[in-house]
Amino acid sequence: MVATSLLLPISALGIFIHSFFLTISLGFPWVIGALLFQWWRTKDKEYYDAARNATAVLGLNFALGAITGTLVEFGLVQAWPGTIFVIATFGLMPLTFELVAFIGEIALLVLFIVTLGKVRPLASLGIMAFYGAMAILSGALIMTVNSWLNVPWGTGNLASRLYPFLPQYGPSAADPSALVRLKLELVKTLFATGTASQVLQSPDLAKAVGLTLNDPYVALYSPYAFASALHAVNAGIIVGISFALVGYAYRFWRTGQVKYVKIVRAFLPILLVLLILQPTVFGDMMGKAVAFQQPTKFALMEGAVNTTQNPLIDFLAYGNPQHAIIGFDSLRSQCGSLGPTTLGNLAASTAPNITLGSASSVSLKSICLSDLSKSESRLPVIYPLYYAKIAFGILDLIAIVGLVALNFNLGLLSRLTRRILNRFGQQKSVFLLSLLVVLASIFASGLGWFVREDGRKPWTVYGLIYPEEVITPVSLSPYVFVAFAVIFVAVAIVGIYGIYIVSTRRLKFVELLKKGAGVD
Amino acid sequence: MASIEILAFTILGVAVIVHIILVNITLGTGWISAMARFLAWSQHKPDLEVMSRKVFKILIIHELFSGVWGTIITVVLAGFFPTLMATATDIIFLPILIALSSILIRIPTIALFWYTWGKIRPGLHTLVGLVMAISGFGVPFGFRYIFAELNYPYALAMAMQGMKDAARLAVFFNPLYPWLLLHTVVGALSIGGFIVASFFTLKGNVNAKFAWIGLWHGVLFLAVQGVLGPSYLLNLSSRAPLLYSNILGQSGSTFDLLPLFALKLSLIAFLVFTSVKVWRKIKRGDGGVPRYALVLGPVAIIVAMIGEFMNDAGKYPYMVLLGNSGLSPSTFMNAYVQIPWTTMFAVVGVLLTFVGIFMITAYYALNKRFLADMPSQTP
Repeated sequence: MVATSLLLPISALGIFIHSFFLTISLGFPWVIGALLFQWWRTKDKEYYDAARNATAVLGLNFALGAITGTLVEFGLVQAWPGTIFVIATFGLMPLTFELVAFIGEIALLVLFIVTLGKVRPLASLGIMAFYGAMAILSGALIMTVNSWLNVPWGTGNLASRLYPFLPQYGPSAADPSALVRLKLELVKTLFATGTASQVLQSPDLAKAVGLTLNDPYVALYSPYAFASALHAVNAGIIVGISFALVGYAYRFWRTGQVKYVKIVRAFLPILLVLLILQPTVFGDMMGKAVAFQQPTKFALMEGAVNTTQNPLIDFLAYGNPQHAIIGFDSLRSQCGSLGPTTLGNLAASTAPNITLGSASSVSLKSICLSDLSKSESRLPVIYPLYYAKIAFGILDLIAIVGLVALNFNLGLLSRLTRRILNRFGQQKSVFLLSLLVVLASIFASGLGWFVREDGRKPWTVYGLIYPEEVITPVSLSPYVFVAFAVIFVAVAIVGIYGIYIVSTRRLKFVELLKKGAGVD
Repeated sequence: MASIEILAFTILGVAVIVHIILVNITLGTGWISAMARFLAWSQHKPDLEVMSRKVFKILIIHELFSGVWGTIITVVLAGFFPTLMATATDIIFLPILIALSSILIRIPTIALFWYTWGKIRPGLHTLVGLVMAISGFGVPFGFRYIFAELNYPYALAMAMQGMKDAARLAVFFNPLYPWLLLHTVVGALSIGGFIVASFFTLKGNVNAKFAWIGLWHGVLFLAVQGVLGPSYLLNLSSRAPLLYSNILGQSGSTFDLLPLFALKLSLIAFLVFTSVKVWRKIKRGDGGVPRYALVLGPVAIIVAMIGEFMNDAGKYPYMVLLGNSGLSPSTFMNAYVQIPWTTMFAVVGVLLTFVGIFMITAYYALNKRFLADMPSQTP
């Protein structure tokens, strides 16, 4: 079998590459929309030209985002075929609705590209707004499925039966005995063959497990998914807008042409508002959701080896400054409530015809303690990275406020900012602050995603399923996967270079071409 | 077959056929565009570069849309037929990996080919075009193994006997596959030619020379299909006898497709007849383009649609054929969840509405030349 330690980072790399293009797909509609609005308001053609150029970037980027997204999706079912169960159950309706959003995105983007400059600015603005809404919906629905992996909403108290420190995950929309039976089949096959996902290939097993999910929409009701969608999509929009910002700021620095500042001013206020909303509203919602739904991840984020008090964090996370941050010591002590129950006992009470073999004597308490240790082993990485993410978020906010103060008249704040940055001059100051915004945005989002995904380990489905239970049973040389990853990275680099060319280089051959073709 | 299974099978079928139509257009036009670009560069013929770009517009408009229908197929397969999907991602792992690698190269090179036009050296641009065209054929090269296995489960049979490791390699030796692949690829090339011929008959795009180039592409590969089609059918007679019987409406058939097959042959005859008439009028690009040349592309697509329908739905009432019988969709049907069919049909309705909107936009754009024939000079 392929080692999970090899496939996990490759999958993560794929998702990070995909997310780069996603951010532009999410952020550029705001930039283009703002430019179109200014074009409509002022009739200034420079806004139109900038919108066209940004549209070319969006078009190329969309192609790259679609391809990397397709590969990530195929990669998911190829490399982790156990996830097919999720797609067929809890993820079915979110993914079905996502198809509508995705196909809508393409149709609307094509409509926008072919009609830009041919229809009225407000009509173009309307199409772009509709496209942007579809992009957000697509992102939110994908986040809903990812959120289900983080918090398996609709499984009721199933996870808390295995790990007493976990809360109840919503209503019990799934048949607990069917889920336990499937889980035990996975465990049994994993013990016997080293991989487990192949059990999903058996039509007989599928029929034996039977109807698992009573409410196929349940993942859409998850409060964790709601917070995640707002937080992640907004982060994507911020990074996407920041790319446009740094591009124009760079041009301003190199050429000194004020038109680039004019363009930046068109969408800078949007970025400011989104950056203020991110920590104060969306981040706050996300933090509270993690604190309540994912106690191991929250303990990792706060470095809580032992239960501790921090009135500020306690207030932010639990709404109560007296509430302690629950550490691994407390979580570990809760495992004790499982008593001497074994996997065999669990099988006997829920799926008596399953023979677990050597796995039957494994106690649930030992699994609980072992998984907590695996989770805790990530603390030296997650804890500092989480606080690095917070630091980048603060830096991001400072930089955007400085940039806004530099480009708009905010009274004392503007005078103070100009005085501080006086020695760099305006061009360089705008560029440096923009660079700070984009770098801080990228690091804050990237680290945030890492904490989100690595923080839910050792599970793929939090509290229920391990990566080893969903990995492909196909034995392949690790070099095949590494080669695939290398090609993926190479394509991404070429694609990014293509975006750079599209956004910067003037045409070389167009005149010759026109002459040769007799167009002129 | 129960009504629920028929519904699931139908939704999968609709997705496959929409996808196949679009893919045929993009593979064929991609090849012609790349060849025109290559000849424009190597023989210093700027007019062929114009043709390349115009033909490439057809591809651009359809490519991403065809890709999304591929994604729809994945979700439908995983959502409705999870056991089949789980089996495919195991036994047909390597061919799917090949298809994915090809997609990985294909789509970025399409975007690069379009957006770097006139911005990089012509030789390099030509190379990007050739990579784009060739990588496109890698996609059916991989995915057609799945279709071959559904018709003649050569490797799946080995897997069912417990020889999974051997089956993962045996999939490459499915004897039905080469004929299916050749039939597919040559079909796409032929359709691409006829689509190009029709495109240059459209008002505002009329060009006798370009239409003639498309026409001879279409006719040439249609002639090759004259050998490949019957060869594939003959192979079906021994490998997938039920499908063969259904296509020819023989005794023992479970779904009489003979009328459809007759319609397909009639349309091919019509295509040949119309092509000859257009050929005479165009006179190697020196004559005029008759308006009725417009029908060539749509008729070629309908022929492909019928062919794909026969190949896929011809297995009815089975999903995987085993000689004269098979495994029905119920074997693989999602048993884990009560699928809300009303919502599913509403979603399919919305998807098809978007197809309609997209098609109207696309053809309006192509006809009104809303996509620039020349690269924009805006930096």
